[in-house]
Amino acid sequence: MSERDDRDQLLEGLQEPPQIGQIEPNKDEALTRSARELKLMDHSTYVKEGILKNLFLACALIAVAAVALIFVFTLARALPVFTDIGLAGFFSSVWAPSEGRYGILALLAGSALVTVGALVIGVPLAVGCAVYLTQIATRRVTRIVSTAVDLLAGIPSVIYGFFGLVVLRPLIADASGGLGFGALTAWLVLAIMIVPTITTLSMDALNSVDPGVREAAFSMGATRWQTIYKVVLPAAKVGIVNAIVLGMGRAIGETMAVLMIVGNAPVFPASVTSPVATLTSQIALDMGYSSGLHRAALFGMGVVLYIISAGLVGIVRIITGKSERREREASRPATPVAEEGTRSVAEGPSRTGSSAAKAQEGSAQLIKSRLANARKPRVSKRATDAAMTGVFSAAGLVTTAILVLIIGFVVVNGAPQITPAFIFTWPQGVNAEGGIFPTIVSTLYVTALATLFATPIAVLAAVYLAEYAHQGRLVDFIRYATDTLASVPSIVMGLFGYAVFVEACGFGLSMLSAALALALLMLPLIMRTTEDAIRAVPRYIRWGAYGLGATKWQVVSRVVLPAAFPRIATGIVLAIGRAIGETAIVLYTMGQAVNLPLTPLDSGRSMPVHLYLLANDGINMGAAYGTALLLMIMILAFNLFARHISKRGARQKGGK
Amino acid sequence: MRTSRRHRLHVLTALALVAVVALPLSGCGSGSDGSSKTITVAGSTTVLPIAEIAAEKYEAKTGNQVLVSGLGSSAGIEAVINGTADIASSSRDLTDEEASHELVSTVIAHDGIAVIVNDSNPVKNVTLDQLRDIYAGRITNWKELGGPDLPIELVNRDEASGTREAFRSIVMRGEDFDRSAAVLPGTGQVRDVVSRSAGAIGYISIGFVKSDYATTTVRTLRVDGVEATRDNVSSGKYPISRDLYFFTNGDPQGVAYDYIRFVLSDEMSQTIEDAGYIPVNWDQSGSGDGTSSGGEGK
Repeated sequence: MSERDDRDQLLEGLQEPPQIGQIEPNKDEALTRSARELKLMDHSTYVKEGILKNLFLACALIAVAAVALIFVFTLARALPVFTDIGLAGFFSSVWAPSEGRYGILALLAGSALVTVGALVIGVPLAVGCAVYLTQIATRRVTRIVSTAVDLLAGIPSVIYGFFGLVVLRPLIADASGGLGFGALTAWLVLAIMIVPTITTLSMDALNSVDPGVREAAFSMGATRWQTIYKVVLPAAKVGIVNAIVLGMGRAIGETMAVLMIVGNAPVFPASVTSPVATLTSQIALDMGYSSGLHRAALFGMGVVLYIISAGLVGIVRIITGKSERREREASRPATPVAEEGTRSVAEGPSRTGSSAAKAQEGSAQLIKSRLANARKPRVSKRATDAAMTGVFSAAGLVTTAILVLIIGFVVVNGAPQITPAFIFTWPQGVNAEGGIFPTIVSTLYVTALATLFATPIAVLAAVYLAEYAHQGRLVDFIRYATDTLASVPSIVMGLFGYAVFVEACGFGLSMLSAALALALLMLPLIMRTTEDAIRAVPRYIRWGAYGLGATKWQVVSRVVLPAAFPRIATGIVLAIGRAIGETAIVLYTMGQAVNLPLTPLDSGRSMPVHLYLLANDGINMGAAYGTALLLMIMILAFNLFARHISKRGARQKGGK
Repeated sequence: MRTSRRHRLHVLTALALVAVVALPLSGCGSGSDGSSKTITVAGSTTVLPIAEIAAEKYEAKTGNQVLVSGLGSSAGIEAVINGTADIASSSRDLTDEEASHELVSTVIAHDGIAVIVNDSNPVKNVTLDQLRDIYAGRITNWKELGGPDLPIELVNRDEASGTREAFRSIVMRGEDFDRSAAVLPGTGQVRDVVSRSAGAIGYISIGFVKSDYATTTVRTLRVDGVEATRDNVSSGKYPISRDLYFFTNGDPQGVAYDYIRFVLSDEMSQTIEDAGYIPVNWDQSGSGDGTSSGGEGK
């Protein structure tokens, strides 16, 4: 993935023409308007421009509508449970659908236990890894480890769950004497899963700390550890906290991996090695057969998950907003681009250099006071430094080792299965002998369809946000909605997709239903990368085009979009990678029958679902390994392809 | 020249947008295609092997397509009631609520549910009452059954499972399962987990006790002194047995009728036997029916 490259390029783009950067984006509009006043633009062009602008706005509002609709539909389907058993009954402790009792407290406790444990293990690893990569490692090592982190982020959750089920669970069963299902197993797997999220965002935060601060600290005699601990980490605190909160959202919303390893006992956990259940796992487990009040209760749990994830995004915005206000006050005259710092919470909380000015002014005092306040060390500072550097390096190493372990596990077990027959024939017989051809086709079919839906809307919405919109309340609101959409747990999107596309629209369990639900997953991902890409296009190119008499749409379609294309393509390819591996959304929107889909209304079974079902059956594990390997190859290929595009784009730009 | 190119771009954009909007809408209109000879069988994972092999053979024979999916018996019955599937495969009889929907049932095979434990477990026999106490959480240690001092690790199936439903009605007789049991969504997983954990107990269909794929083995417990074998199931001696059903909305017709007849044919009975179940025509005189329907009564 290329978030860091993106950010760097964005900064470059903003900094390239230093004085010009002070002109606001809506000056563009002023230019267009004055062009019309000068009668350089005829009336029909003006009308067309207006229509296009509103069309783009409509696309941008689709994200807002989606966020609202997901909430409204999920809540509407949940209403019976609130009216029938009431809030008190819903927030009671006994979950026993067969007895008509739908209390979710034990499930909430399960979610909390699993999430907290995952954070306790994952956060030190991830932050340590980020510190190692930004402060300690050589450029070469950074490139290798950060590729590993990006690839870890790309591995679909069903493969993590599969790994947990067949590798970690038996180990923990042997060690504890129990079954091996439970919170402990989930902690280990979820910790691995949230590491990429937290590492990437923490690296953004650490990278945006002015290098001058570090250099100043070194020059005052601080060791590397002292610099990191006393200077760099405090300066990046807000960004790291945001990263952790978003990692937490990821952990709470994770469904498939958790479902496969927690043991699904809806009781308050007796120990960390006894079976528990979480909100997400219970929804996924029960969704297939529930009806009536039971199903309403599942939608109610969806509402709870939605509120939690939207709340976490809100918290991040508040934290970021506060720190940015403070920074703006500290450095009022120097940073005209500060307002752009508030955007894209989920991607990179403090991506602009707004801290730079403050850092330069106050860094000397800051460092002096921080270092002066240090207690007298009991051990020599050199020893501490060596030890802590070792700890951080270990975090980087562990992360890379985990990637190698997981990939190695899948490759070693899966490679013997992969034959042309496995890829090109149908599964047959009691235990799915033979190949997985229809599942490959179904996966590609649904992903292509979802890409077709999501891409135009996402790109045009991003065009609106980056090129047309006044940077104000509306844009802020749209971004908040997009961030929320990005954080909605995929099982909740699955619920929504089922309620709306499968049932209300009457598409049934089909490629179309699943693709529409998947499009909602891809929409915020593509929107965000496209917006970043558009913003990274230097302004003076646009002015050149305007100066030649181009209309706004001409500038956007002929100049800006082509220039931003490599990075937009990168974003789309990454989103495709996410969609291919997505399981929870398609599980109850696409059907599970093995079928070769022809029309969009055909049902089918995607590869992740096939893998999940094979792992459940637990009989033909060979086919499960083979499916896992093929799935991983496809996704890693997409990820590496995305890296390739973004690198080539960067090279071309550099070469010019 | 320049204008026309710009024009074309707009047209293309507009077309793309129209396509994006129209695709789902056009889908809405052409929802049903009743002419194609494809039927859907949804439901029990226990019946899956029978239904799938029958589907393959039937397709090879007639060219009609049969889509089989294993979502659990309840999901399958729900699917037939709301029309998304033609046949529900089920490893349990209808509940009172389901029975109110004009469903027609066909018994396609008999099955026994084996109680499995780890190979290392010395306990050989349980009574039905003990089994109920174990799954209700009252007996929690193997030493209460004459085994070693080892906590009992309960493995249960998910609520969609027909095996669980049958086990509940035959063994639990109105009592609730201990909810702290691990709930696993597949037969093979239950088998695998029990085969690797010394204190574990689970229940699976007799057909899955021995598996060509598995690298590990499990042992079955005698229930009330009766070994879990096919002979004992068909003779009605083994207490935890049940029937496997197909349900259709009204009398089966067309391809569905044809397919069900094929499943019941002599050609399939060998397959059903191979899969570990007992074909209907073989045990007409047996009392598998009596045991299982007796257990269903609430």
